[in-house]
Amino acid sequence: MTSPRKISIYIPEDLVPVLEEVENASAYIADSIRMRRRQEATRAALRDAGYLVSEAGVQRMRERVRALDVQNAEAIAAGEE
Amino acid sequence: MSTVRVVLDASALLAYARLRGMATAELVTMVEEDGGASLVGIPAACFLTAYEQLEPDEQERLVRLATTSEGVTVILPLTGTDTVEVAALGSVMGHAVVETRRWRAIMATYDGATARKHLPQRRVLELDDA
Repeated sequence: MTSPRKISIYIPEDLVPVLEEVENASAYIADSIRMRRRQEATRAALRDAGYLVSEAGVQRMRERVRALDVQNAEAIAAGEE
Repeated sequence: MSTVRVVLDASALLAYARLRGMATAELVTMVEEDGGASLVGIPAACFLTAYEQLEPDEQERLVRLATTSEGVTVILPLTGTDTVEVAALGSVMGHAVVETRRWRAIMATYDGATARKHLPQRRVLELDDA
């Protein structure tokens, strides 16, 4: 991680309250940028590979994974792991 | 701190690299969309097993998936005595089984029947592109 650098930026008025409510606005913005870069890098890799992923397909996958997450949480709570 | 939420075995990597793995692509996208620090784990031994079976263009696709800077995937190293357990479990999913247990993750595979011999059913996500 590089040393932080102070810059001035403009943000839309409606987003100001968001930054006023968080404990560390700089960290919040930095995390948001990292998440955006992660999204762009991942989607570019899939797109360049030839995959056109649909939102419906992702949602179906999310529901399947969450169902397993629930079962795993229950097993851990029950001391099975 | 980052955590591995899903682990891909060699069958999932092979299908992805051969453009027959839409379910794998959807799973990677899901982890990315869910944000946080969750990652998709690619066990090193599974990567090697898949890589040697692929044509050059397919290898390139696999490498891009596994090494995209700032992406959602991470190659999981195989070290120490884990190597012995992985050898016993087999090269296709052995390392994926070990990493799934370590991270309390979910293993994604196109061979659910074999995976369920080594892991509880709730730790196995059987992929299906039908």
